[in-house]
Amino acid sequence: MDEMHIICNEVSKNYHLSWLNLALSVCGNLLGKQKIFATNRVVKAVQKVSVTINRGERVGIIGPNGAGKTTLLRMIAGLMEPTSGRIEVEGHVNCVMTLGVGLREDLPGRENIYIDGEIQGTSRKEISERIDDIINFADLGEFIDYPVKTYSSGMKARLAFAMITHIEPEILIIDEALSVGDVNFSAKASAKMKDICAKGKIVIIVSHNLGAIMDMCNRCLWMDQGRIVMDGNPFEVTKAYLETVVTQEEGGIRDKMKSRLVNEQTSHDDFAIRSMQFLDKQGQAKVFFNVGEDLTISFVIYCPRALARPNFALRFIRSDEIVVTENLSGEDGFVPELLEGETEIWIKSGPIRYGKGLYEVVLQLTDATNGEGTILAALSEVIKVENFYYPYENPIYFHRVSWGIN
Amino acid sequence: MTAAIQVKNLTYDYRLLKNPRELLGAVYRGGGRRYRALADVNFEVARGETLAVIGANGAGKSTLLKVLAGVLPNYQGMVEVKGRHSAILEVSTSFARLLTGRQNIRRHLFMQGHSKTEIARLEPEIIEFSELGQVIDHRLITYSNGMKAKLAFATITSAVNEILFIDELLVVGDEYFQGKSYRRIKEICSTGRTVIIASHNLSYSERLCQRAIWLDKGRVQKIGPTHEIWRSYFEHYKGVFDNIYPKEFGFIDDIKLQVANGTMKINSTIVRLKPTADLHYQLAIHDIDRGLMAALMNTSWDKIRIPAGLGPLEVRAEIPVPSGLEYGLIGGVLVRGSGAIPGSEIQDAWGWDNSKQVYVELPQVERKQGYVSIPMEWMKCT
Repeated sequence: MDEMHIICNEVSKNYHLSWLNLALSVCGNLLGKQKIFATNRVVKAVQKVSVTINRGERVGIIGPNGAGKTTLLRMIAGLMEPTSGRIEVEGHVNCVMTLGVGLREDLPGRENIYIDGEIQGTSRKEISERIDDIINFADLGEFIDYPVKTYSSGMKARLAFAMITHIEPEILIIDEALSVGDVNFSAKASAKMKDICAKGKIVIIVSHNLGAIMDMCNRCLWMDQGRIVMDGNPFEVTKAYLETVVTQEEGGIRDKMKSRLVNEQTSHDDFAIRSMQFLDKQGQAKVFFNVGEDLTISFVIYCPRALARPNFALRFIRSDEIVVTENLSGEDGFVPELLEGETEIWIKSGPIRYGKGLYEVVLQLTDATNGEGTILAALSEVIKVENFYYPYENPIYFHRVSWGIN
Repeated sequence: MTAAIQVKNLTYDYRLLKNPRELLGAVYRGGGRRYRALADVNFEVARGETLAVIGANGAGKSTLLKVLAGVLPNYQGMVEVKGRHSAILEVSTSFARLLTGRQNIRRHLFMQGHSKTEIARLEPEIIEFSELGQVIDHRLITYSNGMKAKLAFATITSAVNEILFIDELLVVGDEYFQGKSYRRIKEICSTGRTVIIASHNLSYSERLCQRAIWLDKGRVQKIGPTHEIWRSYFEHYKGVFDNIYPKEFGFIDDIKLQVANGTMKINSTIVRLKPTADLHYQLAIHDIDRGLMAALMNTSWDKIRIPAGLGPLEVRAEIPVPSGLEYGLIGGVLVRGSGAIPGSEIQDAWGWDNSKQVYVELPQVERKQGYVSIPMEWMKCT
């Protein structure tokens, strides 16, 4: 096999806490002052991972914190030896770990470009040919001749990013390096990033930005607790990942938000809104919705006496307290007469077009018989909106438009 | 009203040294080259006021906050900060890497002068806010940047002094954490504390600040109400955001806005340079007051294509005015390729082709509580 490839065969990596560390924590424990005794002495960061990556594949790796993504990447890059198993890498590896880490603080920007280039295996002559492009891209002005320690964090990121833009990688490894600079620069950077990925023969990206993964990769690995959970098309894997994460989270979200949820039925008599649920197209209740999915809200209203002119208000409130929509049942042409007892009401909101995020859905019942009306009952629930529809930006609302083109 | 912060003729120079020899020379002769990060900055912040500091990368925002917070002592001019302050600047500055999260919390509170009982009361609250769980007893060196930032935010904001400095880069985390952070900062602002936020982007912190100061290369360009400053900022940078993409299949010549009867009509002139059946147009409206993308629309979502051909085209889009939108940015982007169609597989061949951004001011319309209004269908089930 002379073709460029990466083969990992049952690769594992264990981290050991050092003896000194252990001794310290035992002492701490004996003194009874500190609770720093770690639960495990051995952390299994990567466990028996087998994966083959061939030429032309751009692989995104996703997963929660501590899943072993970075460890795997480092082993492939040759920065670390696996505890067991074998890694075979055919081809020249360029790797970009967290931006700015490789910069030498005492040296000027220009010198850093040369050093970095040489580390990546480019000759000084070749770099000299390209250096003007790099400096132009970084756009640092006279600062390029000053030591990196005089740079602001944004400037460091610019320099570090400009340096990787001009390598011609065979195997490119990128760890979380995608959001840098101000508005102007980050647009330039992400456009460039796509270019580089297109040039690289094998690209491996670790990122929490699922949009970027879907944008740039044609294969996706999902890691959890040191193992590969799923391997396949980025669209399917990110979707499955989010769904799982979200089902795990669903209960959590409610618990987290509990303190903020209201359930008022304290008013005069016992009007109450009961069991608000979010139903999808199949009529199944869930908390997690994708943009574009049909949403129906169902709830039960209990009235101790008949109500001639009830008015409901339904609000979707973002986690940063922006009220995205407010619907009054009266304005939507719904003026029912509520009889004594329980009545079930459905609200069809059509396809969800809210941006991604957590929303507090508040429902209020007021009595509109005499003017203003007092709040008789209120209930709120949490809904989470995810966005596979368009993961690159997150507006408050996706509008449908009637376009006129001529 | 008394000024909580007074800055007069503040100038800050970083000493620039190309090599150690220059360092020797500088020490010896007291000379050396300097870079002026802040030049003759003057402003006052009243007690209880919130101020945003805006500007491009390297404008001196972080330097200004560091000077105010007392991290950089060798400034020229007069800086008076009346009262005790808390600051969220760089995480690495105030937390010890070899201590655990919990120890760092205690250490920070102790250094802020809290009593033992108070620390015991605040600690569980901070740990809960930071969402670190078990990890709180691990050492800081094992933390990811996100975890460190969460810990720093939770700890510092749990017991804030009269004055707070925030470098916004550090407000991080998932949506839930961000929402929580936002509410906490809002709460701090509303309790009469003086807050200065260095804002690195158009984002939610603008909603919290009445006034803004715009720094450009270390100089104060303008001080005033936040939205006015943003307007001048975008006028100044007009054209910088345009044409950042290749301009291969076409470009956007002009974007115009008309507002009538609560709808906004956006007329764009597109010039097609190469015939392709795969060209789409996307419009985004940013709300400057709220620092958010208010609306996004794309021809492909409405199953419409830009007709293949050459030459200019007029594209009209109409949407109801988002309630309360007064100062906005309208950005148009040409998108090439079918990958932009929702639900379709993401394909290799798609990308931005050209962009343009315009600043608009909208006449005030009746303000509703909901940001957008969409009718819903209500029904009674029997």
